[in-house]
Amino acid sequence: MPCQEHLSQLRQHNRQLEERNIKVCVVTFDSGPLVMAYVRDTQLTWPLLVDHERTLYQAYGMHQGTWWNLYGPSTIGVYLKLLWRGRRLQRPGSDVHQLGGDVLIDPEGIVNIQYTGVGPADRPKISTLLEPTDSWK
Amino acid sequence: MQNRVGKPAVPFVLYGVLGQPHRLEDYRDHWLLLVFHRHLG
Repeated sequence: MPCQEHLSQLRQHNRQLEERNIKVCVVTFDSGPLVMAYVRDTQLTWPLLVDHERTLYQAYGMHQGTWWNLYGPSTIGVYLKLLWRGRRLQRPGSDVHQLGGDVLIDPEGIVNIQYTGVGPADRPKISTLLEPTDSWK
Repeated sequence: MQNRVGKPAVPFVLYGVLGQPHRLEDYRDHWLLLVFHRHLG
């Protein structure tokens, strides 16, 4: 759910993303029906790219999380907040230990931001992601 | 963890849900935000 929240927040900034010439691609290691269902259920309009071997995940330092990071107090707090807001818990369908993150690449192909979440709820603020693109406003 | 900030992005060819390829170079001249999802389920 926290990843979906992050994407939801990004969608709320869609106009700014377009103004700043930012393309978004979502990367997943899942495949098959789970991927199709996700696109359908979330009405995802950005490309969902499958990195089944997790080659790109690993290249950007996104490995397996520790038990504490995945199930510790900060994660519990985030899920409780989401439940409070009416989100439903879903049974995880695949590897829950894989960490996620965000990578921002500039128009010349240089990495500007490489953010690996230490836990499910750890994502950069949208303002942090947009900051390097300020000159494109 | 290898910090690649300030370095060239890792080249990739990944496939979308309909099997269409997406390459890093397809996004040249744009900012590209890769959002790495945890498990989808």
